[in-house]
Amino acid sequence: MDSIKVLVADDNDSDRMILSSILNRQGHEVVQAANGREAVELFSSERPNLILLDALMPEMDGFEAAKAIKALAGDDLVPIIFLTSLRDAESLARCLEVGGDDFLSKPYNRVILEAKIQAFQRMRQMHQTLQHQMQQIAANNAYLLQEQRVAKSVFDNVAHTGCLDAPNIKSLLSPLAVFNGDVLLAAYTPSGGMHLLLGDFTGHGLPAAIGAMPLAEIFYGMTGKGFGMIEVLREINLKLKTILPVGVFSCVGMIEVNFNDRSLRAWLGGLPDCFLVRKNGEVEVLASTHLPVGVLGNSEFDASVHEVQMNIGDRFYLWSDGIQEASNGQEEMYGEERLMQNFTANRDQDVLFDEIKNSVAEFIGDSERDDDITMLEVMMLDAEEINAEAAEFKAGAIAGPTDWKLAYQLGPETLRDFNPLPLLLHILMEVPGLRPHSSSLYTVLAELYSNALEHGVIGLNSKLKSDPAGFATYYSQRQQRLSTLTNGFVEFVIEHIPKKDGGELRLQVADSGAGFEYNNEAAETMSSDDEYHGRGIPLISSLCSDVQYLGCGNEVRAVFNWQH
Amino acid sequence: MHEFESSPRLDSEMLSDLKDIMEEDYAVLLETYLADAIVRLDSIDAAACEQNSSNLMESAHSFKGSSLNIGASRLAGLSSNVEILAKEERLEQALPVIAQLHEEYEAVKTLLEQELSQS
Repeated sequence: MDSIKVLVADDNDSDRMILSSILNRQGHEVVQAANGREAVELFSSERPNLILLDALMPEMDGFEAAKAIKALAGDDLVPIIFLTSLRDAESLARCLEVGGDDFLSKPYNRVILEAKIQAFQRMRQMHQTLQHQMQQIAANNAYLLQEQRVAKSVFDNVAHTGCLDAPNIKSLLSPLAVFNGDVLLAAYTPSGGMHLLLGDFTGHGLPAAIGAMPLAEIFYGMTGKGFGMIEVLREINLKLKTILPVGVFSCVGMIEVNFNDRSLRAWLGGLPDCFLVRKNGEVEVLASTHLPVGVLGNSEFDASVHEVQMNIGDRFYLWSDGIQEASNGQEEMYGEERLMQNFTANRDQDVLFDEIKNSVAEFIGDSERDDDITMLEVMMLDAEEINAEAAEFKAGAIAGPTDWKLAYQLGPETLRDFNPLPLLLHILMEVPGLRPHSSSLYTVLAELYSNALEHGVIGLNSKLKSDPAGFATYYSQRQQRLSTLTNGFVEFVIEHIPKKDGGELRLQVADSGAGFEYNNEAAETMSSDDEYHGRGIPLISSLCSDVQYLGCGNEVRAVFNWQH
Repeated sequence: MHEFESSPRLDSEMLSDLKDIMEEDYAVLLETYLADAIVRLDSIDAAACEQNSSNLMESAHSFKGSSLNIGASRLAGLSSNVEILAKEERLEQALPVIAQLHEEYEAVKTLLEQELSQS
């Protein structure tokens, strides 16, 4: 047992001498006090590990001294053993009351004393271990909170609230923990509509919030690039299905609002019934018809949606089950019925959202919440009104190349086995709002490119393709001529000019071939001229506003006008 | 009241223990006890004279403690009786016990002085 420092306080010189000698012989360091006051002073300056205190002393008695010492010791464990020949229960009780831990009676017995000291040593060591562990737990906890704060700021940046503060939206997102298992996202689409998403992940806190990050990333990324609601949902579903463990998924309600034709499309998966409230107070219930996202593979993903026509002032409500399942602490849930009462009792739809919010809060009262509570109201507005908002929002949020021109010439080596279309399409898709037109653009570019390469550079006759045998000949000739290609080129000149509500994309493709006898009027009148059909011109003409052949027919120009 | 007539005036076993514990300081301890005892007896006499029962009780209690530690059992017993009588405010009855205390002290002192001269 390690040696310790012991304070001995006794007004009897001989008693103090005996005790000090016993302790010294046992290897402990001793500091001596002749009264209570000295004992308190020595305690402050010497910080002994154990105190042997006589109860009755002049100046300050042992009871007073014990109280003062315990106060000075604070959280440190400093055992006090009362030295006493007192025997009455009342005095002994008083020793305990002032913080005494044990007694040692006179005459002193060194075996008993050493046993007590050892017992207190073990207690002191346990106390130290405990305090050390408590400090470690506190430090770990502080570290964890710090980590959570950093993670939370990253999380908030990714799963930001987008345009949730738009004038037609009211939202409530009240998390149970630092991290939220519910997520609310809103973004203007490039065409001036709006995407909104309410997600409720299984569980809450950090594990639930993790899935919200890729969800938000996909939602904002794809919405900004002009993908439609179903494309966004498919991607989210695939991503969550891939990354989330089995049993973790997200109930999702996503809506796409079109302010131009005042329609709303809703895809509801695993959420409680949503309400459409007409301006006249009529309530229509829309049920979730799908499983939550992250459950099914994309081949089983069901893209069917609720489509509703709305008038200005009609409101759509969706929520997580946190509301219906909110508990009042008496095993009673808020439930559908109470929720519905808000709608029947409402007299002013402008305050309906707050009425529901307050009603739920009142119901819960002071009882412990056990889930995140999330609610969303979306109102149909006039397109003009929302466009002003959207334009302002877009100015900062969505940027990309809008006015540019490129020339891209491919030489013989490149033409042999390189397909330039994905690269060109990728460049085009950077134009904000052009993405929804990607398939049309791909068709146009592909036709123009194959014309330039096959009929131009390597001079294949399109008439060959009119029967199956010719088709085979065509492709074998194509392969043979390409593999031995030593000269020639195809050149793309593409220019994009931004226009109000869209843009004009000018495509010009020239090749090194001999050209052909063209008739620009025939193209416009959709003539049945074989050469034109073989070159897919009617198809291009149906997608582009102006298709013109130039020069000797080895250069073609087409204009693709597009709108949001 | 403690019955202590049968107990030894000085517990020789305890004294040999103390000798063992104190080593070269044994003599100093005995001298300190004797010097301390004079102070205690004086304050006991003073308290009895002033009829201050609480001072009497404290002094007797203290003398009891140091006497116990030195192995002077009869002296400790008499001190204890004085302490009890003082606590019960029976000062008249305490006076003869205090007189006995003085006698016993003189006897113990003689024995301890013998012990001192031997060591």
